[in-house]
Amino acid sequence: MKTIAVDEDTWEAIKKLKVRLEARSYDEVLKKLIQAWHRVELDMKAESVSIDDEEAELMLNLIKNMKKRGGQGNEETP
Amino acid sequence: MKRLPERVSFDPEAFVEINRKRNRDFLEFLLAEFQVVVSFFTVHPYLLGKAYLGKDLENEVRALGEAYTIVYPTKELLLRAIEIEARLIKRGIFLSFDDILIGVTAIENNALLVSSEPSRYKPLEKYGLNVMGLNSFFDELRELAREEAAKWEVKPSAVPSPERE
Repeated sequence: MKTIAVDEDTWEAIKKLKVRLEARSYDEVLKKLIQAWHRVELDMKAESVSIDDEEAELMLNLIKNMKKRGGQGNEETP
Repeated sequence: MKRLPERVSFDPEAFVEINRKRNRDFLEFLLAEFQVVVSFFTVHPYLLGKAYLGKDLENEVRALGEAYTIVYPTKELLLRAIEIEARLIKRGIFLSFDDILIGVTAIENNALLVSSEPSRYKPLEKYGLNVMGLNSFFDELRELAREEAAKWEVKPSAVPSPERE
């Protein structure tokens, strides 16, 4: 077990959170906060790169057209 | 059921699919559990589509860089790709140079390449490429997500006893 120092405001905030999260220990409060932070971070990353179907179809068409233009593929020479 | 390596990569078509809004749950799980390493040639059509739609490319590439590790072509990577291309031609196989670069990027980064058309990359297996179809990859992710969910189920013995303040 490790001890960390927090100031009075953080201590009050974390006590309130412990009640709201129905956590059994401060370790559990921190674990829940860390999990929540990871979820938010992932959510933000995924949101920023997610594309709707219209954009996806445009990109897939561009890939098809680039391949046609290149005229290359997995072809074996005769 | 195969076990997936820590690093995965995608070809352009599979990359578009994984970023579709409807696959958002897969994407979040993927970003949480794996390091995703993608060739610049994989993200090129994605960025081209964004540019075509008038989006700010700097913002788009920044967002991609925060979610994925983008591998830009270096001289070494290009030369390795040409070496492999020459060996393939000697075997009578002609692949597009983009496909070779995408495959070589996966090989050099020890990443599994996920493709919606894995047969396209089969000739590169001889040079160390590990390739998997997109549908099989989704099946593996589903199975892994189920296993992870089971791990997080609270077991009575795992619940710590209440601590005093």
